[in-house]
Amino acid sequence: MAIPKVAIVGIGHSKYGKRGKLINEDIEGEKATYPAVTIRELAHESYFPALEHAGITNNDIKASVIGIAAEAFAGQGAAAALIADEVGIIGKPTMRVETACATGSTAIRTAWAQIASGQFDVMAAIGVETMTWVSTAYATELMSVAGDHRWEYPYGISFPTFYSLYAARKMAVDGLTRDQLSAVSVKSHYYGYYNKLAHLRRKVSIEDANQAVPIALPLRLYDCCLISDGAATVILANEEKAKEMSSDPLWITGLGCSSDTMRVTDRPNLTNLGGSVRAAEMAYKQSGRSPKDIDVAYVHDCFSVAEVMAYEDLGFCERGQGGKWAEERGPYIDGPGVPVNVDGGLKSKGHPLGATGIGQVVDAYKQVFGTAEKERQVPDAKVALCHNVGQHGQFVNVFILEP
Amino acid sequence: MSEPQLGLVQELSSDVKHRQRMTAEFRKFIDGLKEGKFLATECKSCGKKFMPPRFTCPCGGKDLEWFEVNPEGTLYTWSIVHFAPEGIAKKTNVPYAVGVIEFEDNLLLTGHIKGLTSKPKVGMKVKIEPQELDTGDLAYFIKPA
Ligand SMILES: [Zn+2]
Repeated sequence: MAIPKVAIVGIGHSKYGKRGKLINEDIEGEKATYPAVTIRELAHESYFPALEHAGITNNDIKASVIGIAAEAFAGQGAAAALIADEVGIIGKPTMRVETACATGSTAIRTAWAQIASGQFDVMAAIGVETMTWVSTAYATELMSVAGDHRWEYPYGISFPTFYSLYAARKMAVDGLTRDQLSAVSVKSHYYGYYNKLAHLRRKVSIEDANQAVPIALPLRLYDCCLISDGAATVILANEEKAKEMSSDPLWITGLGCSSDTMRVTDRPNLTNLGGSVRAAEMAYKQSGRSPKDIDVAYVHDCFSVAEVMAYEDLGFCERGQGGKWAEERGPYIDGPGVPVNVDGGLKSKGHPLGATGIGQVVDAYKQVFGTAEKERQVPDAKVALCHNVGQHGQFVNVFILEP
Repeated sequence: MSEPQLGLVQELSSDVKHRQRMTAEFRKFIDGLKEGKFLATECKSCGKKFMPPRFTCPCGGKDLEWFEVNPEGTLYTWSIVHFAPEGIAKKTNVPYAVGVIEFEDNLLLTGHIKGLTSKPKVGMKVKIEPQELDTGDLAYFIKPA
């Protein structure tokens, strides 16, 4: 069943990274400088380019949704009010949404719903997070308290630990190997190297990844996404407005979402994420698309094993074969399957929680309209899929986007 | 950094423990530990069994019956944690091992693994054991059987 027509008509994406300090980047002689900023300037850095891209002004924006996963990171309560004020969307409805690491895509879904219902015609979804202001131990704490506070957190189940429980189980049940996990990270860093907005632009080898310091074994450093600062914005419009203001609207043709049990021990297995399977099924059904129709995909690779599960849960390869598919270059642009995370993913581009799901859609837009850096541009990409997961599947959004 | 040493798990710090707000039902679980028993619950309305125990059922049922779980099982999955969340790191040395034990009826429980002499292995025989801490508090650990 087709869903109401709502399009992405404007995109903006800040540089991801440790944005509390000046960044001087020099990649193969190409130099770039990014000033030290806070959530205020980060919001600007993504919002105004999106507005300009849409060819509109603040007068056209009727309401906003702000994605911020954890206010404690920035130390700002009622943060939606601050962000909306900073970018001049004043006197119009705003709200903050939170679904852990899926916060960004939930901001889009919330704006979509307000447009699809007919309440507003043009809206902004802004995601922003500054995570590097706090110590790594405190950042780990903020993410770990999302585990069940009675039955999981007290046993020291950090966020990487949840996914390492999946990794150890998947190794035993599906024969997932260390090399296969590393193959995922190598790919992410390969594409992230060419993405000017990525946090960590550095190519890594299988050996680097295999021998990296342990974080929560079986997962090592290169299995884990970055802790980043960043912001991303999309402008959404209803059918009439989208056609009027944009020559290149990107339509949301599928918008699947799901959830799962709070405790990891209440899942029927630890080799896939049921929430991803259900959300993908919904999105495929709405759009009339199937996995073989997808030209470029953005999957939630908070950990290498999460990306492997996503390959399977989204139907890019057979169940249990995700590791093998990675090793056989399935997710590469010149590989045999769907190119995945050609922006570097959460692993290399970075994972500023509230921005991540919006950042995926921004890059999908670039891919579909052929404006990504040439080394990571998928030729003739038309149908894009974005998959954004909160915690370990407690929140999942899957979007299918088409020109 | 060197490869992990196993079995270094220490007791929980009190400021972590206090997050487990006490209720009459949770008290009963703790009292069970004192007697060396692992108590789970079963919903009288829908028959679903819960470990860790739930005191209300998602089916809406409020009448749950306690039953004792056989403490022996197998290791369902594991992790060796090298970077602890701040609240845990105050009292617990890294690395520490955590795992999930699978009891009969496919009931699963998360906990620290103690007493490992080699790398944990999915499927290995383990048991869950209550332990009184120096503070007089009670905890439970997954141990090789
Ligand atoms: Zn019930």
